[in-house]
Parts: sequence; structure tokens; C-alpha cells
Amino acid sequence: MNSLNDLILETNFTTYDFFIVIFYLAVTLVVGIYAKNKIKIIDDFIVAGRKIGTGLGIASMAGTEMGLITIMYSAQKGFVGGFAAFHIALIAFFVTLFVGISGFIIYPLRKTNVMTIPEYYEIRYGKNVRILGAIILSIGGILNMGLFLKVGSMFILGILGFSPSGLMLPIIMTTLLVLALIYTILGGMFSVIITDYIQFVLMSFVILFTTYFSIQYLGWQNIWDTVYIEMGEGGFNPFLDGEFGIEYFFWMIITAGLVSCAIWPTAIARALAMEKAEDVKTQYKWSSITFLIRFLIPYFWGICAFVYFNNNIELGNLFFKEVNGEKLNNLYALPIYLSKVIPVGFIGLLTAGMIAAFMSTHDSYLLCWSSVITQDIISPLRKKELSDFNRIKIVRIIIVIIGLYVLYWGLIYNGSEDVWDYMAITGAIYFSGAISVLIGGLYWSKASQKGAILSLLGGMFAIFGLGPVQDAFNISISGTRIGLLTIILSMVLLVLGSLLFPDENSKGTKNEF
Amino acid sequence: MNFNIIELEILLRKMTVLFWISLWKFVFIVSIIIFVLLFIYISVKGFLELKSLLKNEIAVK
Repeated sequence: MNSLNDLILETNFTTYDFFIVIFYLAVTLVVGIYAKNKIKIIDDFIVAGRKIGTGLGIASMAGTEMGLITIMYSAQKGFVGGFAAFHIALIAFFVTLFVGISGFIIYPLRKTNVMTIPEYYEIRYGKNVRILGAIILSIGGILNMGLFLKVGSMFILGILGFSPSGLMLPIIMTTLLVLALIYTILGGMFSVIITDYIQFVLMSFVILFTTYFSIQYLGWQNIWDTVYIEMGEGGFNPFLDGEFGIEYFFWMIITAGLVSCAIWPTAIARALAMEKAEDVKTQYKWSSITFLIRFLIPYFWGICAFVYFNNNIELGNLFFKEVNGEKLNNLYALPIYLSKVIPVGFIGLLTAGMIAAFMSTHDSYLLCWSSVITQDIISPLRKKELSDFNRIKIVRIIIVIIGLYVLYWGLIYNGSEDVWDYMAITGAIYFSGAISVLIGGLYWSKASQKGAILSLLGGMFAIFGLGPVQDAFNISISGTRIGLLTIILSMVLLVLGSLLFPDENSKGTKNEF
Repeated sequence: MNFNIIELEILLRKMTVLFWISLWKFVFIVSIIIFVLLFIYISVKGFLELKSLLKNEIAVK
């Protein structure tokens, strides 16, 4: 195992690359602070957003959604599923395009002029639904980002060539967390649009040169041949049972498709930030390409890592052969592969882009969940209105608490599912109910408050899809099946609840559009 | 041309794999080309919008 550890330690990352990373992070931070001081109209992130056009809107959406965590979990899927994983990217593309053409959910939602989803719940169903919806949203959302820090740190660890065992992982996790908290507080919500734009440009560049170097190093035909030899038809056909299958395909239409673009709060925030409701459709039509790319390219990198380790017997033993009953976590495959294939200088740019992507995602998510807790739970529950000063103070305290939780969760969680499947299931705690409540609220005038409450509570059953929860209750059903069943349950509960307990004064919004 | 069922099954399986490989190659190449075009377009458009946003808002100040 020692010789294997020596092989991991060999990396193309040099001192030059280290300075590139520091320089890029410093520039981003300075630009962020400059923007914060100059653009006073951005008193509030969402109000500022409503001044942005389609170009910045698409760049901002791509900047947020193309995070390090997305790249890591997607690469993991490519590593284990081969080219068959491409179907998820294709689903994301077609569903986002459909949403863009039809305006499904996003268009009527933008027309209500709400700033957050819980705010819409209050307008449509009442204050109770807003508070309950926000609590469930926070639980699902915070659990969902529980592995972000760990996975991001694994990337840095792998690319710098540190050994996965030992204390380096917690040290990098703590360093990244401190950086993310400083970045969030200093740059804050004021500068998100500008930093997202810079990140979009850098990440696009990174995507293109990393793909080029991968193909050049491994050989185009060799990549396809190796996947065929090692995985057979299963490496290409997503409908074969195994890593994917028909059930998984439908689960992806909901999670990677509809939820990713039209239900998930950080994506919705960009839609609600557009200047005109009509622009939202244009934004989504264009963003369908970035939704395709943000999955497709990391899948390809994961496949390239798979090919690289298959072509290299010594290193391949790390992931394909058990040593002392254990294999190295396949999340390390991408960073270790990149550390050996991407040349000096470029690897610095790549790492800078990835750390910035990590910061940007953390920034958006920390602000999103802390704002939801403050604005939609604490504030409505208080009899006296909170002052702006106190709101900001509470938001900052919650940011630190969530940060500490993410550190703790990353260290203790031992689920065996892929990161993407973990995220789909934890996200389902929120979105299973939200799909029904949002669609019902927007398109069905009979949807009632009690139906919405039942539906939101029903969505919480998705938690049974998590490995450790299944172990605790001694059940064994696939997360995919539990996710799909939970969505059906939430829909049934909304319909039954609304028909059995209709609102006295219907607030249906259907006719408004 | 005498085909038996087993040969047909093998042929069908090969055709299926070939279909998926061709599809994913097509999707990958087209996606990269579209992405390059989008990257250029959005970078320029976003930059102009950002410039105008900064100019306008600072002017308002």
C-alpha cells in the first residue's frame, strides 16, 4: 500500500500552480468587495437580480450550478456508469428546454413577483404553509449540502497529491470552511452576480482545456474501446438494469430534469431575479445547454478517469482491487487522474476554478438556507418585526452554525450511496412535497391549505431512502423507488387533502395568468 | 444467407451497442460545439451587460 501511496503523491501541481490559485482567489475577492462598495442599488441580492439581462442571467445560473460538488458527483457517476450516464445530461437538457419553451412553473411563478418559494406558499396557501414549507426546505436543503465540504476537500486533497488517509482531509475541510465563511461574509450577496460571471468564463475555459488534454492523453478511440471492454453494453445503454435502468430514468426526469431547473431554490432564485417574466423563458432555453454541459463534461472526465486507471494496472489497483477488505473511495478517481494528466500551469487554473466554484456554491447555498430560516421561519413566528440589523445578525449566526454542521456531517456520515444519489434523496425531502404544492398552487384552483400541508409532510418520507436510515429501520428498498413513491404519495395527499378539506375562500391563482 | 436465432440475437445486441455508441458520440461532439458558441456569445453579452450595469448604477449614485 505504501508504493500505491507514493504513486498518489506524484502530481503535476507545482508552486507556479499554487500562485495561480492564490492570485485568482485574491482577484475574485477584490472584485467582489469592489462590487459591494460601488453598486449601492444592490441593497438586496434579489432586487439587484431584477436588474440583470439574459446574458448575465445565464452566466449567473451557470456559475452557480456548475459547482465543484456537481463536477465531483457527476464524475463519480461517469466513473461507475460509463457513457450510459450521459442520459442524465440529455434529460436535464430536454426538460430545461421544455420548461423554457412552455414556461412551466417558472413563468407563472415569476409573474406573482414573489422573491422566494415560501413567500409564494404564503400568498397562495397562507402563513402556516409558508412556515412549514420553509422548515422542510431547510431540513432537506441543509442535509443536501451536508457532503459538499467533504467532497470539495477530497478534490483538493487528490489534486495536491496528499494521502487520503490521515489528518489532511479534516485539515483541508476546516481551511475550506473558514475560506467559504470569510468569502460569504466579505463578498456576500452583493457581489454574487459579478463573481458568478467571472466564474462562468473561467469554468468554461477549464472545461474546454481539460476535455482537450484528456482526449489527447488517452486517445479518443481508446476511451470508447476501454469502456466497451470493461463495462460491456451496460457502459452505454442506460435502460439495462445495473447502475441505471428504467426506474432510474424516470427518477432522473424528476430530479436532474424538473427539480434541478424549476423547483430547486437556488435555480428558482435566478429565474425570479430576471427583469421581465418573458426573459425567464429565454433564460431557460439558453440555460438548457449549460444544464446539459454541467453534467455531460464531468461524466466524460469520470469516464476518462475510469479508462486511465484501467490502462494503468498499478494505480488501477487503488480503485478496483480490495486491500485489507477496502477499496479507495472512487470520488478520489477524478482529482488523482487530473493531477497526473493536466500539465503545469493549466492544473493551477483548473484548481483555482474549482475552488472558486466551491466558494460560489457554498456562498449561494449558505445564504439561501440562512435567509430562508431567518425570513420564512424566525421572522413570521415573532410577534414583533425584526429590524434589518437583527435580521443580518441572525443570518450571519445561522451561516456559521450551518458551516459547523457541514463540517461535522462530512466527518461522521458513512452512507454507501453515490453522492448524486445522496443528494437526490435528501433533496427529495423538500422537493417531493414542493412539486405537488407548487404545481397544484399554480395550475389547480382547488388546491387547499390542508392539502398543501399534508403534501409537504408526505414529502418527508423521502428520508427513508438514505442508507443509514434504512439500516436503522432494517429496510432495504432502493433510494430511487422510495423517491418516486414519495412524490406519488405527496401528489395523492395534495389532491385528497384539497378535496376533503377545501379552503373556505379559495385563493386559486390559476385564473390570474 | 442462413441466420439462426442465436446469430440474430448477437447481431441485434451489436446493433444496439453501436446505436448507443453513435448516439453518445454525436451528443458529445454536438454539445461541445454548441457550448463553445454559447461560451463566446454569453461571455461577450454578459460583459456588455455588466459594464452597462456598473456604469448606470454608479451614475445613479
